Amino acid sequence: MSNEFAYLELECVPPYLVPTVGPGLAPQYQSCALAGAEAGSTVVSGSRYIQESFSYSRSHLWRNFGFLWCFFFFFLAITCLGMEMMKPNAGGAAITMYKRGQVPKSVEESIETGGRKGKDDEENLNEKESSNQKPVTSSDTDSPSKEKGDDEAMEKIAKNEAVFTFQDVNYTIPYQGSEKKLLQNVQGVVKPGKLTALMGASGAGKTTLLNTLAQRITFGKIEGSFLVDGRPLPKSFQRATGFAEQMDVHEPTATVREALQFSALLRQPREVSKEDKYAYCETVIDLLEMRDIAGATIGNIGEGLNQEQRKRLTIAVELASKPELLLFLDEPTSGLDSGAAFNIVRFLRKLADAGQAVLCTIHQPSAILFEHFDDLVLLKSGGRVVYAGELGKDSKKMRQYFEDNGGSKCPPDANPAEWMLEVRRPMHIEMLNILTLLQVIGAGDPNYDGPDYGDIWLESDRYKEQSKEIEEAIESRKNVEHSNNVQDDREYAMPISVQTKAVVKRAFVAYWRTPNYAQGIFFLHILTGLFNCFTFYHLGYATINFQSRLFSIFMTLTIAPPLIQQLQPVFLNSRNIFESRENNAKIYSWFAWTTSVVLAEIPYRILAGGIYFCCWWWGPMGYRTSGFASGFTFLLVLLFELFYTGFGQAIASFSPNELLASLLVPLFFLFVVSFCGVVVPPAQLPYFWRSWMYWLTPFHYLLEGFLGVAIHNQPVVCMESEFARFSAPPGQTCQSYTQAFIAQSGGYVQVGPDGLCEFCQYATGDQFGQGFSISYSNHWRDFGIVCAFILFNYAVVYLATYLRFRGKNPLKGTITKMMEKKKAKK
Amino acid sequence: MYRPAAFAIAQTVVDIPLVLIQVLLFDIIIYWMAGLAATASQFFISILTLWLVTMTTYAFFRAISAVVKTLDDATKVTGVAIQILIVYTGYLIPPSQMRPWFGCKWSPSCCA
Repeated sequence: MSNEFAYLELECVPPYLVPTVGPGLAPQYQSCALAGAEAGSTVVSGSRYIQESFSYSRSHLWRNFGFLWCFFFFFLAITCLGMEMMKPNAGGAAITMYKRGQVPKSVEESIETGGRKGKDDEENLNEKESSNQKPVTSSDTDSPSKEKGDDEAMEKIAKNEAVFTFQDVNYTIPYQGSEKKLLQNVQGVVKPGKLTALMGASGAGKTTLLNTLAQRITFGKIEGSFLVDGRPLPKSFQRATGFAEQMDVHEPTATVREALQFSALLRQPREVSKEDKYAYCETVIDLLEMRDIAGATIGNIGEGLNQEQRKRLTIAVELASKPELLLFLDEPTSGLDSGAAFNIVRFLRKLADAGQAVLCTIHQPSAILFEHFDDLVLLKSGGRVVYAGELGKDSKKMRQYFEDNGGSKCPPDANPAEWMLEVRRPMHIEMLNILTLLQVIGAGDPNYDGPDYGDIWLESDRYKEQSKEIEEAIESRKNVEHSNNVQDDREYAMPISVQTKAVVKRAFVAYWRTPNYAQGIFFLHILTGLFNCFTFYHLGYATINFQSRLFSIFMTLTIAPPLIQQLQPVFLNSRNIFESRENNAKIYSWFAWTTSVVLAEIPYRILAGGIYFCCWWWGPMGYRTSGFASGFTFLLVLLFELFYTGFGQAIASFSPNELLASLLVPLFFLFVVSFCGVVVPPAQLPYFWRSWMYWLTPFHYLLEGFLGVAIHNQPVVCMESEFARFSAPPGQTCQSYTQAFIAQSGGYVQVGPDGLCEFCQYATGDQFGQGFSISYSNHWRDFGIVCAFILFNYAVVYLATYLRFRGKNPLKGTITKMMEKKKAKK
Repeated sequence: MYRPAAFAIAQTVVDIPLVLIQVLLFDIIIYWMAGLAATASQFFISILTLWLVTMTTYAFFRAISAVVKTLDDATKVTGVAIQILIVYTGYLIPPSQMRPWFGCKWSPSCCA
């Protein structure tokens, strides 16, 4: 309890603020209708009230100032205490979560036996890992039975047939006013069943080349011919290739199997039945040995799957789409320990053996890893090819080439992958330090004065051989019939309805599996609802109580900003996944994504709205209004929920990142709230704002709707202090004296015990509403207008997303142009 | 290397001039545009108060973030806290109208 009270005392900070701010802001009270209304009913006593309150708070000014300091230090102390107590994130004990009913047997058993068996498992696992780390050159460490299963899986896996060739690839980007060449005269061929490595130092352009080949470059100028079987690339190229990115971006709430099925469903051609697609997923699961984690949720980085499992999943997701042309991988082994890296390369080898064409960039491979590759493309800085072609057994062919061209002999025990980067430094082979060597070949060591292997390559026989090979490959494949998938010129495999359905379903599942988020929503609604309810519990009929009705409703509207802050990160995270992977791979369209994020929020918001309404309405007002008023208010609460959801998403949809989105919210919200007619009554708004902003503010209509029904036909009974007292002129009763006035501006009069007339400003709630330009008769109109605002919000969400992913953003275009101009001037 | 509390204090110290600049900009615009009492003493008092209020609010929310574990939890708490702060300023509801269970009994502000 004491803790509770200590916390509640914090909330009392602001009550101190008002008198403290008082002296500075006192004149504002004079013009502020709210304070005036509090003060009393006549102007004269009002100004006297201000005088009194002025001197009153003036004497407390410095005392309150001291209080503020106390609070400040109190909070500071709490912050320090909290920081001290906070434990830094403990490494992340990765917990693997399984979907209900998909827990692998071994795990289930170990849970049942209380983990005693689990220990054995761990040992097994360790053994397995250590066996992987042994320098074995082939992948036959697996038991024979497993091998057999693999063979089956390998037979079922799609075989590529097409040959992908690229010639004379140049890639230039504008750079500081001039142009910079990132790739020069690169050529090569990717054949089915071959595992091709793309190597080079950092900055040599490995990833650039990979992106260029995958047609993922949207900037700069690309020249050269990219041909599939001698024909230009089909529109479905991006769909028909798999691209496993360096970053493993996945929807964290999905399970491994679901991720595969999602990819298969949306990326395999529409002619394939759903059952076949799902069956194919199981094949992929077997092939990549993911049977025991198939039912596990992926989780965010640091929890859920580990790095290697994630990488395998990334590859599996690409495979599940049945890439018919080839599979690109960007640095599949970086960030993994040697055991895991070996495992990944082993899988790639397996895929190549199964008939896939695999092209991957790779950084610092060990000799064992390097052994697994068939072909090599080696780049040096500036994007020039140093070597391209077959490696041969024990990299013989490559060694031969470098030795023929002036390199030193590669000692048999040296790692050829390291050696080839070191060819022109014959003396130091024993002291190989791969990192510095990579720098030497990549960045162009200024001390290096040997021959330029880029030039040598262009003049070599191997180069001519390769050119011929490419020509031949093109010729021989020219007349082969393509499969439908490659042929169809569809950008997306599935029709938009199927895309939308699948994505929406996944979004709903994701929400369902992040109960923390839903909890947050409900928690806020319940607490603010109850708080509002008991703050204004059982409002009476005095004028001030009508004021309170207004505030109670206003408070309802102010719960929006924290809720918006809550929903924006979810929106933006989802967009990041879409943006960084799924849009590039053309899995589904922007429309499907937008629909999914919009729809998934709505049921939760409606439920939350219902909860809020029940917590709030019946306490302050609902207990004695008509049934219609309650029902209508309920509808308005639901509309309000939809409104702020759309509002928040709309803001998020055109902000580039989370920070900007959360900064924009208060800005927009300030406008929406300031001019809604509560903070400053409409009649007192400056004409400029009243003439347009007041009519544009959605909260104006929401508020009018809420308040209109809440005060309709409610009597006003002034309190003693609220009456304006005066004596009637001689010969007239109070009634006859004020009759004309009441007819004109409302209110009622009664005779007080001391014979004075007591005049109350309002007789009914509706008259009170007129003071804020609120009329009951508008309530259905307001309802309609709020609906229109909601539709407008969602339209903005769709439009902003469309511009982001599809159209050229006109703003962005002009900005880059301006930047270019600036640069040109320099 | 250093105690976590030192980090919290350092952040606060860094805020002192930053907040002062913000408050100055804000108050210079608002104060004169709204036509508040144009005496030097009143103006500077308002700046001082505003600065202290801002610092206190910073400290309050920082305290929340230090105590709470995740962003989700933090938004929950702040959502409610902001409302409470606004409502019980005494501006929206005059203290005399506050309900006994939330209002005067334990809040020193009403009695003052």
